[in-house]
Amino acid sequence: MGILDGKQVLVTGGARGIGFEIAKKMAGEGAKVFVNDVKDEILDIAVTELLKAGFNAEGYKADITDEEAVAKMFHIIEKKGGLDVLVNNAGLSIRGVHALRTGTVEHDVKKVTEIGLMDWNGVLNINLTGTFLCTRAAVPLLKKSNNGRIINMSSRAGRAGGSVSDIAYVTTKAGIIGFTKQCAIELGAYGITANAIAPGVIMSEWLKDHWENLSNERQETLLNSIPLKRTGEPQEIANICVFLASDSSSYITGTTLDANGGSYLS
Amino acid sequence: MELTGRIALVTGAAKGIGAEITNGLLKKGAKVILTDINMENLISKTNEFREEGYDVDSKLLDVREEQQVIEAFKWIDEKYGRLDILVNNAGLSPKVNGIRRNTHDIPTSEWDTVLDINLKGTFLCTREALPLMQKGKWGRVISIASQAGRTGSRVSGTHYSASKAGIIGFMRTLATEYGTFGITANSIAPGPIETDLLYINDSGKIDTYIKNIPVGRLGKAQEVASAVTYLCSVDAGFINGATIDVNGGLFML
Ligand SMILES: NC(=O)c1ccc[n+]([C@@H]2O[C@H](COP(=O)([O-])OP(=O)(O)OC[C@H]3O[C@@H](n4cnc5c(N)ncnc54)[C@H](O)[C@@H]3O)[C@@H](O)[C@H]2O)c1
Ligand SMILES: NC(=O)c1ccc[n+]([C@@H]2O[C@H](COP(=O)([O-])OP(=O)(O)OC[C@H]3O[C@@H](n4cnc5c(N)ncnc54)[C@H](O)[C@@H]3O)[C@@H](O)[C@H]2O)c1
Repeated sequence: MGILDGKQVLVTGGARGIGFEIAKKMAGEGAKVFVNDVKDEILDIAVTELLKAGFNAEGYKADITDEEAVAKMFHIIEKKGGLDVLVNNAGLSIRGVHALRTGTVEHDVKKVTEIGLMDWNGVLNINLTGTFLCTRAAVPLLKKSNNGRIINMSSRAGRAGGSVSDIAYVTTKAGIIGFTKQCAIELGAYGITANAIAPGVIMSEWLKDHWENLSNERQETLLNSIPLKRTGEPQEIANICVFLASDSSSYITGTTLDANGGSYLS
Repeated sequence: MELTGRIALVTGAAKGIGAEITNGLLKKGAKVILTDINMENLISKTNEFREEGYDVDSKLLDVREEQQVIEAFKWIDEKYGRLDILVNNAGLSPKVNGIRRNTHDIPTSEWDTVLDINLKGTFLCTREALPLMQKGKWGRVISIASQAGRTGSRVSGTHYSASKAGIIGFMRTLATEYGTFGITANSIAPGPIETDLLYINDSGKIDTYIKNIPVGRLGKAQEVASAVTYLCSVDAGFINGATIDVNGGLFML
């Protein structure tokens, strides 16, 4: 018996990192989880792991920036019983988009003058347009649920900026917060709540790579700026997602929940 | 259960949100010490929980009174040897016939009362609780702020807003001090919740209020309580220094 028994959930970008932990935790709480990702190799691995653990999970390969692909995905979800919770998790920084586009990973954080338009557009497309497309397609399904929930992944960087983030990423993550508020206003009448989570430094796959490229000194400075003196784990973000998806959070809407160990106190 | 073995203290626990917070913690397995300034309500609420088979204790406590606070926590130390969860909930929002006083009408005594209960009370209870939490290397301090401390309020006075914004600042700095002891500090900022405190002597005003709330209704005390139990859980361990709004979307920041 879990606190999400009987709920149907979609997690975008759920094949690895925070998204995967969200899918796993929600499935563990009894939800049926649709796992979306753009990369099918890692998606297969992720879904196999969930199924092996005895969870109710299904994978959908779709690029959330592709309007048609998104429409198709939601059409299938509707046929399979509808949706109660949408987790807009897929998101990338300039580094991620650049690597996807060119195959080369650059570890230095690019400054505003160093960012090409293609990379800028890529970040805005995934983080904002993708969130919009999925939300727009999900709303008719969420209206049919008694407790529709939209959970968007913002970031500490969207609240306060930050030395490890680029400006396109920060822009979109702040944008997510506004998007979330307006969703709350427009959809409250249908019993749908919309909230954002703003994680601080979380040891997900992509951060691990980046972290190892930071000097010891830089790592120490970063850790020292966090009152809890440690980075967060993807599971700790997944936990919050479960709370926001559960009936316990029924009067919470339009908010951004900070999970950053206290590193930026909002 | 999630909070089995944990000992919690809730101030202003005899009714309203405090009583529901107590109920929520009990349901998760915690032992709860109810405290309140109102003896009659405190006794009947405590008995109510006891009759339901819950593990409760109680102590008459005016959070403004330093000596009382010191003695209450000393009593807990002697009786239980530690404390895991403190919920600073006791609070006052003075109204005259359901209407706040505007600033030019607030007597100093009313100003002092509000700041004493809401702010000094939070400080005193937190100060005395911290050594007991450090013993267990785990702790949760949760203070009930208010939407009035996040933005302006149309129903409560300037003293109330000052005290609630003060609580948020207090909790953020507390969050920087005890993290390494496993103690997190967070605030909850409820919007309009159906309790005696919300009492507004004007149904028209309530209707306008509700119209502005995206979910189209007032909140329930249980919905504040569920945020408290969540913050007490192991799952919420990376949330520190945060303020959680529970307001149906009335104010979003
Ligand atoms: N790790 C952190 O410290 C941190 C901090 C704050 C916020 N976040 C946010 O959390 C979310 C998850 O981050 P993560 O650290 O797990 O990253 P990650 O790179 O490990 O995972 C992102 C996933 O999204 C998928 N994805 C990318 N583009 C997609 C698209 N167009 N359509 C569908 N899927 C797509 C990727 O394939 C990948 O599996 C992101 O929104 C990120 O901005 C992360
Ligand atoms: N009801 C709302 O809409 C609302 C909104 C935002 C915040 N809050 C906050 O939630 C908390 C609880 O409010 P409520 O609505 O349950 O109010 P309430 O008036 O129903 O209950 C308050 C309780 O605190 C006790 N109390 C008062 N002074 C005390 C003192 N000096 N020492 C110990 N106990 C004392 C009272 O006896 C009572 O039992 C308060 O801090 C309040 O400011 C309430």
